[in-house]
Amino acid sequence: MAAAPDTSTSDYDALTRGCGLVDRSERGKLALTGSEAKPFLNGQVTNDVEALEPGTGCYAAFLTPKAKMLGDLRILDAGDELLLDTERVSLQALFDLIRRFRIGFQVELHKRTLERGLLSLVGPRAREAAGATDLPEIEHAHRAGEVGGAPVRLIATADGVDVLCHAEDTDRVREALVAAGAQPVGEASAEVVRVESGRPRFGVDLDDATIPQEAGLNDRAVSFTKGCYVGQETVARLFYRGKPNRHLRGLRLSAPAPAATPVRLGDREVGRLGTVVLSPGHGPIALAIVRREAAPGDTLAVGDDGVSALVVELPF
Amino acid sequence: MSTTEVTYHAKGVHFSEKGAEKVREFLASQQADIATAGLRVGVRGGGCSGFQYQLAFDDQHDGDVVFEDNGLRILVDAQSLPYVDGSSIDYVDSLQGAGFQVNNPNVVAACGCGSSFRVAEDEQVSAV
Repeated sequence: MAAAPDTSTSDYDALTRGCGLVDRSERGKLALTGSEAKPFLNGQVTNDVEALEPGTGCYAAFLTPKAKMLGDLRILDAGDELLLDTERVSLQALFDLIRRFRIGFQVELHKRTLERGLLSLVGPRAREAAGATDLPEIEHAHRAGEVGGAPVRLIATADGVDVLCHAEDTDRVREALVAAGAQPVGEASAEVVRVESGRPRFGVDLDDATIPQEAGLNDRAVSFTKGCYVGQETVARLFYRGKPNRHLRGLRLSAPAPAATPVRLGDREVGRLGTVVLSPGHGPIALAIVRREAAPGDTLAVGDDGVSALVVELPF
Repeated sequence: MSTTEVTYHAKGVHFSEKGAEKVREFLASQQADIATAGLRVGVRGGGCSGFQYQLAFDDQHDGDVVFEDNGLRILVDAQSLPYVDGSSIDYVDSLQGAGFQVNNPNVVAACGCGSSFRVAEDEQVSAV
């Protein structure tokens, strides 16, 4: 298979200068209700859920007791419920964790993956297209709204606005967003913009061997003041006393190569390629978690076909 | 909400000698009636390994399973029972502090401080 699908210039223009629309309805979605939903979830994920107010949200990871990532998620406080969304590959793990550890708490778990649609608007004109110019700038700020006559939730993201709707309204909402100037683009095109911004994705760039600090997620995903949660001992020890052995880096490739290809510094394997994209501005680039010996400025060998990679800081 | 009735043969929850002594001491100091009051042993999600014990002196509530050992009552809510069944409640007095300790055969891993634990996996339900 082609390592880095070609990105149409028109998609890239929309995502970086206008407003691209990506259907992310396949993401895993759940909701929590009940008077103890917040204290319960707070004890299971890395970020401070109890600090959330209606209309705010946060990004967090959920870990094994040894602090390896089982997945990451967005948590939105919608007042009467907490809305959770996660990569589809980690949905079952999140669901199992909640189902298993909710014992002793007033909390109910609801499935929302098939019941809700999720359309991401990416680009500087996203807020305009969503009718959300009033939405606070801070990531994860959200409010109820209406698009194409359908009730939606408008959510501020790092690069635009997410529109969450009832699954049966998804087509109608998409049409209304397109009429408002959004241009439908493929997921592969949106991946180019994500990789350029240096944000890793669980399942490709991050897996069940990753500790959040290695992926540079502490600032976004971890609260060091909230108290105990699964994996907290290791996360705290690494932060206060340790030095991660690996770091998330950008790689500028001499040619595209498939994801998961091993990369070597000299003779030693120091990691594997994560997401690989062909950026109109940067050429073939990738994200990878590499051992700390591979510092920015070093050149790595990628696979066995003579491809090389320059290690760089993120974002590109 | 559907209800499933299950028959479950409990192994029971017991006291060590020291554990029983401390519970009796405490209940006596509270002038509690040992015919109704006892030590509640439960679990709750949380802590570094997923579950945490909830120990408290309490009266019997609806739905509790009651075990008797050394003439004392151990109260376990039905939800918690599978997670603590077979445990022995000890009392330890060490440099790290004094308190009740649950020696639980269901535990597959515990955190450093021993107050949070993990148990083996149970059946799978689809998340979608």
